[in-house]
Amino acid sequence: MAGAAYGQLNLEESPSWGSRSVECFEKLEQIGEGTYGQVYMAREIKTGEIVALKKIRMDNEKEGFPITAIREIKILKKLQHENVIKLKEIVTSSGPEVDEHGKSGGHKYKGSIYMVFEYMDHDLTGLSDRPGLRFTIPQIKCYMRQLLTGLHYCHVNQVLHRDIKGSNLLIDNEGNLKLADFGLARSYSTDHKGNLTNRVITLWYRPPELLLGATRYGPSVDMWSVGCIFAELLHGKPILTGKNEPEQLNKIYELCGSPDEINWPGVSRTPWYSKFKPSRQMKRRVRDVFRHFDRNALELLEKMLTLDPSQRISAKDALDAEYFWTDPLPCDPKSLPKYESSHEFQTKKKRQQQRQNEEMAKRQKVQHPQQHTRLPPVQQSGQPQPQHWAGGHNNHPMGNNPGQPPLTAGGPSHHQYGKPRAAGPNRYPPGGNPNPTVGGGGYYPDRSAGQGGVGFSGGPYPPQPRAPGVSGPRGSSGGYAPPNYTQNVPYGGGSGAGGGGGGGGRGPNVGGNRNQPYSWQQQ
Amino acid sequence: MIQDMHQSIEIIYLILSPFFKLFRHKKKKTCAFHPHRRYNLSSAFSLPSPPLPRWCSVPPSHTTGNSKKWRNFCAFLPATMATDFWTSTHYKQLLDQEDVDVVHSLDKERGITLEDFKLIKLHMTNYIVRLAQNVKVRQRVVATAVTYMRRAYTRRSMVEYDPRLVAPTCLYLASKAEESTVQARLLVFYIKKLYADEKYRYEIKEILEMEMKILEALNYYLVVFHPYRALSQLLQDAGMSDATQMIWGLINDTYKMDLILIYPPHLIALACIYVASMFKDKDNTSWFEQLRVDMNMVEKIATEILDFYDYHKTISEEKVNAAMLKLTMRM
Repeated sequence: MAGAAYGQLNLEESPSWGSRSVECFEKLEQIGEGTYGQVYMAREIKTGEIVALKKIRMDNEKEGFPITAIREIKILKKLQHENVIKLKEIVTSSGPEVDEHGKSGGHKYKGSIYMVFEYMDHDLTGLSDRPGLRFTIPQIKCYMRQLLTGLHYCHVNQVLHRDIKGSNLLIDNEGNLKLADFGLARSYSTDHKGNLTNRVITLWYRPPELLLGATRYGPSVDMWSVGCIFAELLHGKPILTGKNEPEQLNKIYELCGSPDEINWPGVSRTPWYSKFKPSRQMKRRVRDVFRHFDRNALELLEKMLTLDPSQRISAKDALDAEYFWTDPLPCDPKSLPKYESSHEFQTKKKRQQQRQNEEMAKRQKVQHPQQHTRLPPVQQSGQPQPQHWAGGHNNHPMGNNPGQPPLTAGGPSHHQYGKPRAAGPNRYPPGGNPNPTVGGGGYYPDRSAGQGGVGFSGGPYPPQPRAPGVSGPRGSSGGYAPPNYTQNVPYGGGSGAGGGGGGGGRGPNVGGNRNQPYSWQQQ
Repeated sequence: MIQDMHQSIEIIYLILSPFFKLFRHKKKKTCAFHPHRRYNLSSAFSLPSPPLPRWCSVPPSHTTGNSKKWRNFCAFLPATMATDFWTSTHYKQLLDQEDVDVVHSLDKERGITLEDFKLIKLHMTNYIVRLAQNVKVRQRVVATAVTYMRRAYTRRSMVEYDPRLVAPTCLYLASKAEESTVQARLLVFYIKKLYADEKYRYEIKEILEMEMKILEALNYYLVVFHPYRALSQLLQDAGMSDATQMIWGLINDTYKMDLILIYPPHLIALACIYVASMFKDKDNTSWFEQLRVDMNMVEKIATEILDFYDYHKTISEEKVNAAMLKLTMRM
């Protein structure tokens, strides 16, 4: 008995203890790849159940099991909720050395570790970007309500998600929405001394207090992101699309007004208030820009996009908002249409083909006006929908959702999750776009390539002409999304093959490759 | 070495011993606590009182137009919202004494008895404490590390998982899990400094490899609740703030036993308060009565703590060394 491989020993000793081997799963398809490791769609052999396996990359770890992995596992094991992704188990594969020598003591642990998640078909961004797909108002309410319910649960349990964005909201074909990717999440306590990093949350969804350098913050940071998603769903496209921190802040000011001691008491004491002081006073124009939203939606949005975090609505109060209790009511998730699984990454060859098609299309349609991929929700009121692009040179028809990875336009493609957390406030770049979270690439070129005029056309909101860098290698394929917008890779891993497209023309620091819900974080 | 590690325990014992008899005598009197009565505990510990109102169990109606009827956001929420000790894996994993006191078959082959098993775990607890004092981490990290070590040995053998490697590894892992990371090289440095014995000397690489095995042995359940939680609130509530230090010390000593694997942490804390109130001759009967806890359990734990102090006097360095030697001996 002595000297048996400890893996074997586990099985003999107590089947309920110790982790199972990854051999219990049959890998079906790699659905993501990044420098952090791979994500696979897999079938459990015994039950036939489809799962997602996310590999925890272990080599080059000077400090053993990554602390970020420990955080994520601790949090996921703690959170059990229908709107939070379920970590089913952790499985290991024993490395060759253990197999060969079979002894437990003193051998190098070469095995890999995988987190096993329930499999989800889509993510919110991927779904909303499907060509021709329109969400209905009850559907948006349904998703929003699930998002808020899941988030409220996290907040009650003192967990900040810190990376709420469409690609981290997974949706299954039952219409259920679940929060995923807790790679940046942190437990917090109300009496916490602070000193949380402000380098979290994908730029477009990052609240003003973080941009102003706050290191003491709470659940309200997530609520700002929810507000951005809410507006995005109704508006048909992302609303605050800065390329770097100063620009992001400026966009926020342009929409929500510039902060002062009246609308945000204490703002002048934030670390970088004076550094990012707006050149002129700006008025809040949320109601103006989004005047096409219905009254209750606008009212809720106003409360979410409140500059002062202490006045921002909580998830709990948002659930009680009039919006969710007036007709049309949120629909039952089960009544939602079932969409074909949007896993283009499963068909790499097809992707290549599509890419060629796209190139063709691009050449043919250079002069055509830009069309937006997303359609605004089906509005009952028949209000005008100002969803047209303000202009710009995006000329690629978005219909054929090509699935090839964007080329790396700039920035390393490696996964950089660890950075935002690790970086102290002092490392905040004074401006420009040297964001370590740059990178990230989508699989969907139409999202990751240049963005053409992100303005709220027709509205007073100033259009944002695209930076010249837009036309990266494939930039001309248009689209409005920065790299983080990689959608449809619900199990993450997009950063490898498709990754790294941080630079040229996309929002450079949009949180980098943190677009994989299950992606792994590296130190 | 053993002696200086025992110092704190000796001191506490010396303080406590004159009153042990008194305590045992008094205990009978305090049985005014009704065995089956549920006492109402203040919010300091999240007790199993359903934290949630039942309104949450009503599902929202998606179809009805009568939304006002369900005008409570909570209708969306499941019956159990907050995760706390009672929903934690810690609670689900609590073991019976008999399950903890199982010597692994491989260890038995080496002649390790139950007493040896307990001695080695005690010895390793002291090792972790000593190492932690050098690398300077919070008590909470120590407590978590000891818990990991004790949990691991409910499933793994000491022959295969050398305690002299498992102990520092558990400290290393706990430091990460409790957000006060200690670098592995720092641990190795202090191990070398503290122990001349070759058998204690492990390298960084070995610690990192053992970390994976420990994680697996723990089944990746890393959350541990400790009796320190809300202790100051409880003591304030009981009017015993002056005994804080003593009770803190008592709680520290409980990690020299397996209590944390067997009892909910708040009961361990209460048992320590119970012991301390006896010692201070403070009649806390009415305060305990307000608590919605099983006082029989509290008294049982208190007795175990006192028994441990009694037993502790009989431990000698030779005994510990003999037990450790059995591990190393090749049969």
